[in-house]
Amino acid sequence: MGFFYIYVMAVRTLDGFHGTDIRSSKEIVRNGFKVSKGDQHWLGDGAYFFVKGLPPSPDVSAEKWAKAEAWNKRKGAYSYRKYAIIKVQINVDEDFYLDLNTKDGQELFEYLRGAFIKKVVDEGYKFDNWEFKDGEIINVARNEGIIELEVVKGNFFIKFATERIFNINFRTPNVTICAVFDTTKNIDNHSINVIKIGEIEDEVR
Amino acid sequence: MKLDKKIKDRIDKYFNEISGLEFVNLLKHKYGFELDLEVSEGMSFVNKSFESVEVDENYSYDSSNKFISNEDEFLCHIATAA
Repeated sequence: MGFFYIYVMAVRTLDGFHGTDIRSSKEIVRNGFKVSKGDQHWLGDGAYFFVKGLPPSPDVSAEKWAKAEAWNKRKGAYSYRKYAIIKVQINVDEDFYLDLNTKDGQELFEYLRGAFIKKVVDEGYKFDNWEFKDGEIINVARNEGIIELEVVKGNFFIKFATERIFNINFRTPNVTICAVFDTTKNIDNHSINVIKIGEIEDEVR
Repeated sequence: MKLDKKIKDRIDKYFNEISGLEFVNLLKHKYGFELDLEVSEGMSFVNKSFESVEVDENYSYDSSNKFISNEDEFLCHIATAA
C-alpha cells in the first residue's frame, strides 16, 4: 500500500478596501490593480488596502484616504472631486503572509532588520537620511529572494485631510493596512467591487 | 509567517554569503539607498599605528608644544580635542 502526502494550504483571507478617484476605480475594475512603486511606501512596492484592525472600519479609512489624496497641495486645488471605494478579497498562503501586528511577525521583521543594518554598519556605512526604511527593507528582502512575502500587514499612522491641513503627526497608529505585492496572484479579480461613490465638498483650507 | 529555522537559516545564508561591500553597492545602485561612509573626525587617527599618525592642525598638544612620544598620552589629547 502506498502512502501519499496531502499538503493542506492554510489560506488567510482579508477584506481589503481601497479609496481612489472614480476614473482610476473604473480602470481597476476593468484591469485589476497595479503595483505602486517607490514613493516611500510603508511596506514596500505593492497595492495598498485598508483592512480590519484599528478603528475606524477600513471602508471609512479608505474613504478618508480618497478625500485626502484628492487635494493637490502644489496646485492648491482638487485633482478630482468624485471618488470611489473598492472592496476586494485578498487571499494569501499563511507561509507568505507577514503580520507585523503579531509577536511572530515582529520577531521575524526584527531579525531581518537586524541582519540588514549590521551588514551596512559593519561595512562602515551609515544611512544618509532619516526616512523610514521599513518598506525598503521589505523590497530588498523580497526582490533578493531573502524571504518569500506576498502580503504584509501592519499598523501605521496615516495623515488624512485633517492631519495634513493642520500639520498633525503622531507615532500612535490610526489604521491597519496591508500591501499586496502580486495583485494577479493574491487578489480575486471577481471580488473587485465598487461599494461606494462619493463627491468631495468644498472644505476650508 | 514566523521566524522558524527555515526562514532564519535563509536570512543567515544570504547575509553570510554576500560581502558587505557587495550589499552596500546593491542598496545604493539597485535600490537607491543613500549611504555614506561613517567617518568621524579624528577617529581615523585612533586606529592607525602611532608611527604613521600625521599631525593635524585641528588637534592640539600640550601648551609647550612638546612632541608626545607616548601613544596613550597622544590618544588622550585626541579625545580632549574632540
